Amino acid sequence: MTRFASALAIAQDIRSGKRSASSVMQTVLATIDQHDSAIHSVTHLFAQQAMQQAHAVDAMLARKEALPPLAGVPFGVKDLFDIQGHVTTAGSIVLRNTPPAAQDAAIVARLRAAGAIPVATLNMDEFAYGFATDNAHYGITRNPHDTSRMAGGSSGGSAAAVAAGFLPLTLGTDTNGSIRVPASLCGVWGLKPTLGRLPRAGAYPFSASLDVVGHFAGTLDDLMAAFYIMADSPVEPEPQNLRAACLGGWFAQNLSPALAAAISRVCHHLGLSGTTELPQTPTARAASFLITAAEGGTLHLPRLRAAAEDYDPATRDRLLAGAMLPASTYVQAQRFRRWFRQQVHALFEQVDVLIAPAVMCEAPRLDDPTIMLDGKPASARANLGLYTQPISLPGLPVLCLPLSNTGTLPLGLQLVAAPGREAALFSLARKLEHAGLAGRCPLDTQQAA
Amino acid sequence: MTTPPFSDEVLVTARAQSMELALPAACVAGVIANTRVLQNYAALVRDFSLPDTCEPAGDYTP
Repeated sequence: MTRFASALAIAQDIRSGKRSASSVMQTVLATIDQHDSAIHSVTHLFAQQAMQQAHAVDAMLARKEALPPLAGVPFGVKDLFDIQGHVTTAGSIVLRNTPPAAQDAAIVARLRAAGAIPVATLNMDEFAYGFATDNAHYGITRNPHDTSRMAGGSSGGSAAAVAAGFLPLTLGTDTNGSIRVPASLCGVWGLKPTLGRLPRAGAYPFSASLDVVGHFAGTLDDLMAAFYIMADSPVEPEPQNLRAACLGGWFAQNLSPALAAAISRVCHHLGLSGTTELPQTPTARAASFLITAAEGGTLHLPRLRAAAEDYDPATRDRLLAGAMLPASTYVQAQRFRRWFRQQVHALFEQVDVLIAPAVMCEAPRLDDPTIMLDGKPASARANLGLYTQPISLPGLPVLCLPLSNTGTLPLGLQLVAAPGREAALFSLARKLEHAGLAGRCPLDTQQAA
Repeated sequence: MTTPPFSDEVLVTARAQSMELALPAACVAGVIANTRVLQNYAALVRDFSLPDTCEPAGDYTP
């Protein structure tokens, strides 16, 4: 059984000879071929190359050579990571005539060096600007738990491919929530590491101040193993006796009843009472939004002058508006960011991990993409990042975990730590997983068939 | 937010002209809508008082 198997279990089966890498790859390709038409997570398959690499792993094993830790493990990449020999389109047709990538993106190369095999590029919002993975060129990615609902974005194909059990591990990027939002809606584990901790080389940029590369996995162990491989650093010990606090104020408003109850269970388990507040949260969200708009717009301005009609109209209009922001607005947003960073760092002198919702509710319906804000329906696409955008601003590491046993479609929780303290996130996530409060949300029997 | 003394369309057109940017007609309504959103966010940032010593959070290192 390969579908829904973890990356580490697949690697162990191959290493022990229980399964060949080629049989794993054949099953993965067949599963995608059979099931992805309902979800539309994949934009390109490297079927032939993946099979060749799987055969190479089997040949190494036959020669009794030592296998690297993820030998034969299939993985997918958001369609903005360079794969050597393949044109990186970043979810657009604008880049279709650019030369193929001369080399793999840095984190792709590190996974490949660890034996993992890239299988597919995965759907995204055009140029990563959105929370819906509704792409005018490549279609809509649907939520595997309910295909009438949004998968979230912009790394929606990456989250959906893990949720559907196609791939145990996928890569994404997160500028304002593009890993955390789809991880939450699809019920999988997602990590937005500390800004700058993983190399961004070979990942098509969006907003240089805020872009972070990261990943999705079906298990916490896979999430951790892939992180340390991509960070090219030894596994860090998980700190114990962590001081946690639940964020209130902005982060306690507009929660669905099921999510509020789930957060309450987490806080009760951790013995937390009361909440902590991030100062000036609405302004932090605004600053993050403005920096993204200005940097993204400026990046694309030369192409928008030449070929605006090639862009998805929704992306195009957002980018144009961003390109025309006054310099003073952008600089002021970056000044606020400096101030906000100081406040956040002061907060982490009192606490190790902050807890906050990832998205306020279950995945919105595609035919009614609204959420309730202050008792009124509001655009889901404009507001799914309500809780992720403010936390993007200071560049903190954030683990998005799938909450267990909510009785609903998937709901996610953000665990937030001081810069460089991913190990603290893993430690608290492990504690919640052991308590039965966190874990991948299984597909129901019919959808998993 | 302070009401601008002229319409959003005039504002967007003027900004585009100042950048020698020809806005395709199909873009204008969408750009205006997005500019309104950005102006609301810009007001929040603009109205937050910061000390003069607070530098932008750029990360350039020579």
